[in-house]
Amino acid sequence: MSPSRRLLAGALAATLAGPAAAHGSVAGHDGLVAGLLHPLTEPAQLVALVALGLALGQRGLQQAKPALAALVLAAVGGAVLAALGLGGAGPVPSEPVLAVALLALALLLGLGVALARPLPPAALAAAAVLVALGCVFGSVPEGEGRAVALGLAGSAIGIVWWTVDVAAIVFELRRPWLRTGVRVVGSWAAAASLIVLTFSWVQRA
Amino acid sequence: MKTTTPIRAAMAAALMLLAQAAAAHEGHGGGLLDGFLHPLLGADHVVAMVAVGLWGAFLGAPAIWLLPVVFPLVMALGGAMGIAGLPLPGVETGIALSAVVLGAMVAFAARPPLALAAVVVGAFAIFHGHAHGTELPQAAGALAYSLGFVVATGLLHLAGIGLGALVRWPAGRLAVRGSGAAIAVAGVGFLAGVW
Repeated sequence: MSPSRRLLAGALAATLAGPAAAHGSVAGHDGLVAGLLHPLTEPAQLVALVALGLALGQRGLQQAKPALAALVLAAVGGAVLAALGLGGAGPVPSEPVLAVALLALALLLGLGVALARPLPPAALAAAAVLVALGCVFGSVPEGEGRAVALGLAGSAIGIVWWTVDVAAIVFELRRPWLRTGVRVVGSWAAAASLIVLTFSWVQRA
Repeated sequence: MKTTTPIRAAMAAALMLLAQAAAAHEGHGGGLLDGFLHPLLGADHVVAMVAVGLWGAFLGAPAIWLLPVVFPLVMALGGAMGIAGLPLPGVETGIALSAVVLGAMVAFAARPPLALAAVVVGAFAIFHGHAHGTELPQAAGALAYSLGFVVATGLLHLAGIGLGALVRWPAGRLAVRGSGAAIAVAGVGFLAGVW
């Protein structure tokens, strides 16, 4: 089996993963694999990563390089900080707050994609850092020691992997109608984020 | 590593399918599927969304692609109004009227300026969004639900655009205009409470 087909098989197998039972774990998986899949099982993380991937892809490989580098550094750095115990400390917001922040970023990024006005490279890099940190600190698994470290390592890899894959798809789309399709998906991400942000705001009020 | 575009596209589709797991992860009962089915189970929503796609096809580029980008964003504003409890009088009437007006636009092959078409479609998007939004507080898995109904709405637009592609041929043009007329008549039925 070729590497690409293996990847496809892996992605399809991932769709068979059952609902996550508890935070930081994915049913049937532990450690690295659970961390890898975790961003896909948290709606706010998934939408933010897709919106970021779309924005990176729409910006083009050359101009997206700083944001890609920032994404990798933030994902790895965040995972290290979380593994050292910062995840449970005061400076890190709670998970609901992180989810709202990720949705706000998804709204911003999705709007930019929908309007075909992607953020400037520096702002895109800042958004990539915030998305990566939000996802990492929202993915700290329960437990301790090696299991936590493996889970966080998986999350860091997953955050970069899934974002880059979406961006790579968009990089390769050249036909105008496919580029418009990217804008449509961006508008979906922005629309869903706006609705849920309002929902969160009303619930808190 | 080198992957082809179709394989990458399939992987992206796989990513989206995983949202179903995400819905369950929130610990609620409904989520993506409920949201996805919501626009599909309301005939008034279905015909109006298909009419948006049909009209876009009639108007041609850039309307054919602009309307599906604009509609979800404006619909989200309507949804936010509904969630926030901001009253919008005559929501059901507005939705039924959207089928009448949009169907008539297709039936008569109306070609207003793009800005006017966007305003007409956007105005009706508020009503559709409000209807979805007011049901959201009772719906489980808010984000997955929202994604579901936004994607389903987009796919209905796509269905309309696909059917609207027939306008390239004379017989197809007739069929599309006939579909518009049928949608308008259905809208009158919704308004009259016939179905």
